[in-house]
Amino acid sequence: MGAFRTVMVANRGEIAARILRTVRAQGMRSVLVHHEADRGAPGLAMADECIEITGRTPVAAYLDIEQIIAAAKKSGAEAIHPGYGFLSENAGFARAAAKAGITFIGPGADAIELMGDKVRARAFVAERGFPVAPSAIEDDDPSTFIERARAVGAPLLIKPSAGGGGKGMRIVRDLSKLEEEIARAKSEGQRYFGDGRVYAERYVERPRHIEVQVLGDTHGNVVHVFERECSLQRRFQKIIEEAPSPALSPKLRSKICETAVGIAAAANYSNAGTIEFIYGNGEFFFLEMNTRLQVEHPVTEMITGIDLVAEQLRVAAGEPLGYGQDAIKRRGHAIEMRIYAEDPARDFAPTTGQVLRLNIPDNARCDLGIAEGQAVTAAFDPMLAKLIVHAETREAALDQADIALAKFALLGCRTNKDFLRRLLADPDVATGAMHTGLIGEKPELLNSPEPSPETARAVLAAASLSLPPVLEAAHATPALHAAIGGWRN
Amino acid sequence: MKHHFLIDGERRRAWLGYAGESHILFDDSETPVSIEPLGEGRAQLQVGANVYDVIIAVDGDRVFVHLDGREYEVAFEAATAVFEHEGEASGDAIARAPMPGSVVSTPVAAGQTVAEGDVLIVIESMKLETSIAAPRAGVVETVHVAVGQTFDRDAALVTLAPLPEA
Repeated sequence: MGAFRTVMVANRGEIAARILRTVRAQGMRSVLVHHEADRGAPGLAMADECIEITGRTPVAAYLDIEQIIAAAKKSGAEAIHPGYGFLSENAGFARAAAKAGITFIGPGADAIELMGDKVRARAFVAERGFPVAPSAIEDDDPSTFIERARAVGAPLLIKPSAGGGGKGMRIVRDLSKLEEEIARAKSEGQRYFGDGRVYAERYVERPRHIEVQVLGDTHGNVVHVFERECSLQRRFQKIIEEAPSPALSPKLRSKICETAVGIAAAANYSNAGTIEFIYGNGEFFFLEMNTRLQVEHPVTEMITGIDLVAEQLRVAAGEPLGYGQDAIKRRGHAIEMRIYAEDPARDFAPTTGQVLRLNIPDNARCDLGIAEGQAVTAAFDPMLAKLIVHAETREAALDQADIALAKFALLGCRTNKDFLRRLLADPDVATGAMHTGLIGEKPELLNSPEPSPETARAVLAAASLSLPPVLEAAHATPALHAAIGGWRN
Repeated sequence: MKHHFLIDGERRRAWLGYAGESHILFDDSETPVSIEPLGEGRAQLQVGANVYDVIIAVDGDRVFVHLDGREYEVAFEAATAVFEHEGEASGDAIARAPMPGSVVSTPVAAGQTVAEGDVLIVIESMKLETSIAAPRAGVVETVHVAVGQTFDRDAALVTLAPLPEA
């Protein structure tokens, strides 16, 4: 028995394929919307029905609520899974789906709205007694904002209220520069987001990013599915995640996971969600809640055996979770590595190319968003695939991670995979001593080491023996001539 | 003369020779090499005494090689395309573009005397910067392109005339 007869996926890339895998396994009919730029993607071969959507840009197509709802109606879908990004945290989309009589696979629109407003979410969490970083919010009383910010104490982080993605944030270590920095943050906020309001919060030096997966149903039950450590980030984006976090004692783990359940329950939260915390100096503070499936959800699935997408489908259909916290067990350690089309040596600039050849490692789960023959373009986010390994211990998982990355091959477009191998081999990463600024502090990891003379020779041999003009030149040159020294100059 | 290759942007020179049944790679030494295709881009590569499992994809003049857990991008520049008449003591030599690209810098001007190895022009193709150096001493006759200009494959970049007789 499936929760729905037909489910539409309103997303693309690896997450579309990931969701379709479960929809199909549950015996439900699957529908996928897609822009022409995604022709040939793995998800299209998996869905029972594919519906093309159009837009001014490929991204605009995936953000077009009207068109997507119309496609869902046409296909007879009873439910829409939004994946992550695009419309996944758009309360208007959730409402539009409900209005069309289609179930939005996610929380209620009110929860999306509450958590989507950072300042409101923060206040909501603080009012209910959960830990947030000590802070001062300009909007509470603009006339006393500077004094209140000063009272929080240094170091301070000034953030735009309307912000996201790290833009417009300023760290203040010297309070004599506070006024000046607030003025700058306000003008940056105005420039980036058209909104100059800011707030100040205590800055945690070398923080860790730890988040907790929660699952709620529409009957008031909420459980956590343990935590994930996501401290390895570049440009404020995660690139390697793991579960469990190597930083937490059993006592602290219980505390942070129970806090997450408390926050989700207070928000009347149903479906899958993630509560992000900043952790440092033995303390953790609420950062934000993501009201959707996360990119890094597979590490949780690997250590618990729970298919989070299957759970999302069940609770969206109104079924109760049917189990309590005690039923959720974890085993071993899982690590996810995100393969991006980008060049770490060029400040992680996106790369493009054609996927000429793919090799998928046999010791990892590979959530793949691209197929051989497809072009990697600048039209979408540069994440191409995720490799997820699982082993009994963290050490064993790190070994498996390196093997998986070494076996993985994507020929035709430069990726970050060699960088990921160097990062995982870093002594601080190997011992679990990570923080969100680690990659920025280790620029030496960004450049590929020169190949050894032996390796360079092997690469030259492989290339020479594969290039028709080189082979032709070899066969056109009399052997004697070549042996005598025609190659010398 | 050797072929020019760029491995991840680093210039290498090598020549493949054929002696009866087998190939020999000449770089700074001579190594017998052979390859046995295994299908779907996979192959077993033998370089001297070393054997490697490789995955290879060819796209025009570019070869992508997965070897020892790493991927390398090799760009092949036909040896004759970089410098015509290379190695000849007399006559003009014209540096031609090995690939389409754009001009990054032109450190020399017409009339300037250059020594062997002096950089004549820096170009960017496929996001890789390449310096084209004088194959021998000479006088720059013409710089055919300006900084920022784009060019097609085989476009003339710099003409180098022989040194005037002393």
